[in-house]
Amino acid sequence: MSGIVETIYFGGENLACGPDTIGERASFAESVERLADTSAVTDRPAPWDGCPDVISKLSFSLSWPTSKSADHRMFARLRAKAAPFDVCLWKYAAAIFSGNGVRTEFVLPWRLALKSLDVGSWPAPEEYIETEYATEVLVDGVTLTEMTDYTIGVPDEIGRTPITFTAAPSDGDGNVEVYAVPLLLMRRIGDEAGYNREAGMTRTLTVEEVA
Amino acid sequence: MSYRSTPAGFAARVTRSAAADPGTLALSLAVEDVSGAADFIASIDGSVLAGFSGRTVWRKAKVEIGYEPVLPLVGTISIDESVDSPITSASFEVLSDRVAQNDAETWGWGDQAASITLYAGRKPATMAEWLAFEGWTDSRSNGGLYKARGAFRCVGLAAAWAGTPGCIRVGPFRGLTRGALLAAYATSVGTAIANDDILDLGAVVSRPVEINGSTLLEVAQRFGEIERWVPRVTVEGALEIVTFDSILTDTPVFSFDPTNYMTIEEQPVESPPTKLVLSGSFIPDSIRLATGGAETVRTETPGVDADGLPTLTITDTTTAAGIVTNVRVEEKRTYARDGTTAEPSVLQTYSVVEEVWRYQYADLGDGIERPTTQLHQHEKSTWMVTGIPCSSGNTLGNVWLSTGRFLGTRASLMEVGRTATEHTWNPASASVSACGLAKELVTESALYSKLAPTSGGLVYPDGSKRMEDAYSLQVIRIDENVWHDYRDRSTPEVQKETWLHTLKVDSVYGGEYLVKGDWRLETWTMEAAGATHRHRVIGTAWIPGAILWGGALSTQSATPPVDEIIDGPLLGPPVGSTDAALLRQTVQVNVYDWSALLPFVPLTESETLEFAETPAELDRVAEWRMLLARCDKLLIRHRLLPFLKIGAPVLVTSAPRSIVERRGIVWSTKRTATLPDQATSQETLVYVLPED
Repeated sequence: MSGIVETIYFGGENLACGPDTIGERASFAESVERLADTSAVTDRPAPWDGCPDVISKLSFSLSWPTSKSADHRMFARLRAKAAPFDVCLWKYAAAIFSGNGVRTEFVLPWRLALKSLDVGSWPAPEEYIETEYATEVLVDGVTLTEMTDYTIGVPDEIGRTPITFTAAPSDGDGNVEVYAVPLLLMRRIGDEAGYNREAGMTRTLTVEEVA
Repeated sequence: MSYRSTPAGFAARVTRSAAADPGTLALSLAVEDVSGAADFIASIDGSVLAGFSGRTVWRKAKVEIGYEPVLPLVGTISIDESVDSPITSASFEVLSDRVAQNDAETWGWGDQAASITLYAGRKPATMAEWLAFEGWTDSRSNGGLYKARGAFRCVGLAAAWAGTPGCIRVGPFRGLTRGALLAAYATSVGTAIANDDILDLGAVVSRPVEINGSTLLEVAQRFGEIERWVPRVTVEGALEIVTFDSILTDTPVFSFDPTNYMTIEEQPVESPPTKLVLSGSFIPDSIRLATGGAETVRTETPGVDADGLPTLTITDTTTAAGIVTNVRVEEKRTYARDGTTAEPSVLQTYSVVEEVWRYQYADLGDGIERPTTQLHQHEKSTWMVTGIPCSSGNTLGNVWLSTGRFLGTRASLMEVGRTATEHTWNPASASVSACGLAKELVTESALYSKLAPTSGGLVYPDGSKRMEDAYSLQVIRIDENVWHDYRDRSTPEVQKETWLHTLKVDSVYGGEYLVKGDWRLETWTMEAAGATHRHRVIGTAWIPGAILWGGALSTQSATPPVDEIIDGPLLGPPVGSTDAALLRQTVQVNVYDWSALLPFVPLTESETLEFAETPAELDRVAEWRMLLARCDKLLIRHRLLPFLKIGAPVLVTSAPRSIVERRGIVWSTKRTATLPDQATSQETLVYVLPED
């Protein structure tokens, strides 16, 4: 299911009518400069202990050519809301870490949707979700078992979620991979509405990841 | 990259690797023991180097004020160092309501401890840590309507002593090196020098050194120009000396080439002086390098007189510990000696003049007894080839060809005049003028016979009547100065008496006698210590009487004293000191013209170097300044390298500027970390040395 899941989680509730298109853009926290011989050198931030190798921030542009009235209250609330809000598109994201043979705790930059959202917010029947949206953790290419090989901790106030391994992953570049559906903390940076006689309200929202 | 560490830390040398594997560094890092090129490189942990020198590097910066993390940081963190001003400075900005300056709970309250730690690694899980800055917050400002953005500027730990004026006073010939003097100066400002071998650094100073009010850095820089030191400050805030001479020979610590720098640009050139006039005062080597033994040097200067006959001047100069103690000048002429019969004209002694100085000697610290400024005696004697004139009635007299009448038949070398000066010095004490001159006695003698009274005496061939029937060497004048020092009493003043004994015709007896006269008493009243001094001549009088030799005592009749008041500088007895060597310093001015080497508009610069020890050190300073003037100043932007400190030797390659692996000196560094991507870079100003 590579398209839009109708019941995406947006602004604290499942949308009655999903957007027609969603544009996604990742911005990378990195600084690349070229040396005089034209080769590039890269500086990446390591802003917190156990952060992933690459840190990026997502921004979405969601467009509704027509909307359902059940979602209008949510649109109005997002326009007035000061605090960031949760967004889950039910799409996979990856976080890749480099083990050093010592470190056992790695910290995801977001919460895991499957653990954070209650049953009512899931986009499909429970048995379906368990397989489709489950978190997968691999070390050196081998899939590990939750609770036995690792445990997922409680996210902090801005949504960073620790994963603690029973045994420290070995020393390697990008050898710890986590695939999961992220629940993102985002803020609204653009909101356009249009009204026409046939289709009712059109809406275009632009949001970006905060934490 | 490969590296290894040693238990004592290590020094690193980074060079371009011949063939870098894809995805790996283009740099290779060769690591040597500290005993290698350690002069230039602070010991640094190997993992730090590995972390900072990668092609893809994870970074993090931590700023603390008052040992508390400063968050959230914004903008750019900057850390600056320079040879010109080696006190490290740092700046950063923070977005917070804790930047107010009037609240004791904020970071902006007063000057607080500040530190900047940079982390780097080739993976986020393994970060090396480097304390890049430690000091205090200095100036701060903030702005922003709803959220305050505070800008902080900090100074390194060296700020604790950087502005403190020190003082040092060291007598001559103490045997101390400039390094030892600098260490003593550091102590006076409340810090220490980081170099373990500081006491052995630099040349031994012979001249007296007195420095007041300068900062330690100023002194280090002034000494440094002579010794070619680069003073720099460690992160811990200690002054560290790097010797520049080794820059020319030691292994470079880094090689800049297009594989490791981002940009490179030549700095604007300011026209340097093309001619330098340097001057200084020096103790002659004969004194400075003296061993204490006496040595006599003879010089012979032949010549011809007005008649074309040969002459010869022989000068014997005797020195002890480099100080002249005896000079004997013998003049030979071609002539015939006078006498009762004629002699052939030959080159022979005509006159001898000999001067002798006798000083108080003292060991000034280097085990060598040198004369001090206390001169006890000075004698000047003159000998001539002549005869002793006698009266017409002297039965031993002979008439010489020159028509004079003399004792003996032939002229011979005899003493005809002598001036002896004797000094008596006050002993040094707390209450009396230390080592002040108490008495000066000048006695002048001559081959002479005093004139007799008109009523008596012996008649000489020239018609004069004299008191003895032959000339003899006798005293003809005594000049005695006595200083009375009252500064140990309640009234601070010094009195000087002058007694002049001279041959005068006595008004009563008519004969020529040595009389005490020209009495004079002078008083110096110090009205305020060290300020105004009043010189008051109490009286000037002529007192005939007090006949000392050859006559009865006459009645003294003093004329009333005449007041004479002169305001002026402090007058008093000459002061000698057993502390100070008799330093005969000479001033030398050297002119260095570099016009041919420097293609600039002619510009002359003059300077007197206070601390140069020898003229050779003037040359050294001049050569160094010329070298710096001819350097190509390149500003290179590259990845941050913690070990690249000011004063380090490097190699530079920049094809567009025809520079290929030329040696240079790191002159200044500016390290920056840009938030939030933590992009870290460094701008290094390198003085690239001229090819020759």
